[in-house]
Amino acid sequence: MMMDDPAMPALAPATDLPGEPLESGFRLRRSRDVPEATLSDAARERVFKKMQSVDEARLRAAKDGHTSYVG
Amino acid sequence: MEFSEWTPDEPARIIDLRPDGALLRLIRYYEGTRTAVVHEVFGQAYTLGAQTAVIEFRYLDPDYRSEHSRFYSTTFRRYPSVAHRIHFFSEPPPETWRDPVRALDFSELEASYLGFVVLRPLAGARVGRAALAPPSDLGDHLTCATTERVNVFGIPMRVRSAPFMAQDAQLGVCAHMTLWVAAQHHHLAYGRERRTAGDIAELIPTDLGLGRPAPSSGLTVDQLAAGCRALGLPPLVYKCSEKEDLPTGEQIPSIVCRYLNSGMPVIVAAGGHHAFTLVGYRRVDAGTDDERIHFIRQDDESGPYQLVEDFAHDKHGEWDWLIVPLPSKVFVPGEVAESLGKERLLQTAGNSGDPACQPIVAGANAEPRAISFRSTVVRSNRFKASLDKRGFDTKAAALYRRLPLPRWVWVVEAIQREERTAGTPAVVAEAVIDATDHSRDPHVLAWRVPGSLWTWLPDQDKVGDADLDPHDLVDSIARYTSEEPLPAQPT
Repeated sequence: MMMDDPAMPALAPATDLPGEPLESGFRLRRSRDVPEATLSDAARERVFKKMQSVDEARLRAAKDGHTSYVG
Repeated sequence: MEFSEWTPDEPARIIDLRPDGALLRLIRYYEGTRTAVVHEVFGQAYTLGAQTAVIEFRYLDPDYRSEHSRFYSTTFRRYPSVAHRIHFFSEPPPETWRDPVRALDFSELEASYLGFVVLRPLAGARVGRAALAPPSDLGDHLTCATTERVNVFGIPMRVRSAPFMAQDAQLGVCAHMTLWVAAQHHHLAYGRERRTAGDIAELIPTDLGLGRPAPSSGLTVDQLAAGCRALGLPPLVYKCSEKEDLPTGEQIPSIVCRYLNSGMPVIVAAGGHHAFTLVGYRRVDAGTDDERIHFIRQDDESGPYQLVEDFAHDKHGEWDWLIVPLPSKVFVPGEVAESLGKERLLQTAGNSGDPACQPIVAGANAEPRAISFRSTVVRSNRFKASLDKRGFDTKAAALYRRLPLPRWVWVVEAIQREERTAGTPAVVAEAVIDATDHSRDPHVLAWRVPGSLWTWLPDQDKVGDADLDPHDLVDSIARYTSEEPLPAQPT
């Protein structure tokens, strides 16, 4: 671990930076406090099923790619 | 044609195509032993209204040069190392063209530039690289269009086109040409490295196939995929000869159109013997029982902008494989992005008290559906830069612009089908997904439904929301994936 150099001036806290903050424009809350912003279990299940079927399709394709000629 | 005849003393020739037989004489001069593509390319220029042709006789085409240095310079028979390039214009030759004193000024023809075709000194494989304007009925539907810039007698010209090249049938065959089209598109659209036909032949790993590299006897799908990876465009590969080979609920058009909407060409291997590249599509008889998709392909054995009206009964046979070369930072496949974005929008719209949200849920579940979902992978900078032009109000645009976003995002849009058919703005809601997201913990970065815009900040694991005023429908991002917007919204 690097030790602080006592000869160096301490960095000013970020809150003292000059200029005006650019607000995001959103009301921000912790995710766990906004249950409606989390996908429902049923919706997540449908998304994961889609992912699984995409993966399976990729595995099926991988089996035959070396034998199929074009050109 | 004699070897020396290919490079006459004159630097160029200007041809007035208006007199009867002028075009035919040009075709006869170049047609060689394989006439189909020559006829098609010149025929397309004629249909576009070409009245002037300019032939550059000593054109140093990087693609032909690369073929020459790697193959044609190694044979007993000698081949010239230069190509010809013909430019087409829809206006007659300038007044000064026969005057030996006055400067030849082509600037007045700039607006009538129709593009060019490079011709190799190979009787059996005449057509090389071409960049021609699309036929007038297909221009609105060419989703993989880019701008090609050239210089004619010192005057810069530009043409909006999709890249095309026919195979030379020795160093490269149709499969190589599909890779070249994809590479050239990504070069022109996204600034990736320019790869020549010779580069591509060299990039293909020979140990993944059985044939000799040159003359080429074709490539395996594995070699095609490896070629994409070597180009820095790792592909998604779909086997599609049987419907059950595809991911659940997917069909060939649904997969292909996601990438075409994104301005990403899709390579198709068909009938066990041929490959071509899809560069656009159009929806016909939308909203009726006969609704179907016509694809536009660059078919190196037929020509550019070939319309496929019925892909299920294609002249090249069944479509066996779809190969989608993608930027390496697009990890999330379109099907997954669409599933995630659709769920996100429907849940938020379903929970919302805004009356404009309910038709989204009802329309997505109705039969026939009034709402469909369109997914486009796009650079986030382009997404932000297009917001005003697409009709977003000031507040929604500002909220989106301030969000930190990855370079590539999937934008899943809820589309009102009736407006889409009418060609008017049709997007009522959208979800923005990180294209590098984790497959086991997927999130939507931002989403908008009538009345509100939401975000999830991954670093803080915080959710933000903001109220929006009633909002008009907006244009689809699919119209704005390239440098210049498409003439119309994709159908």
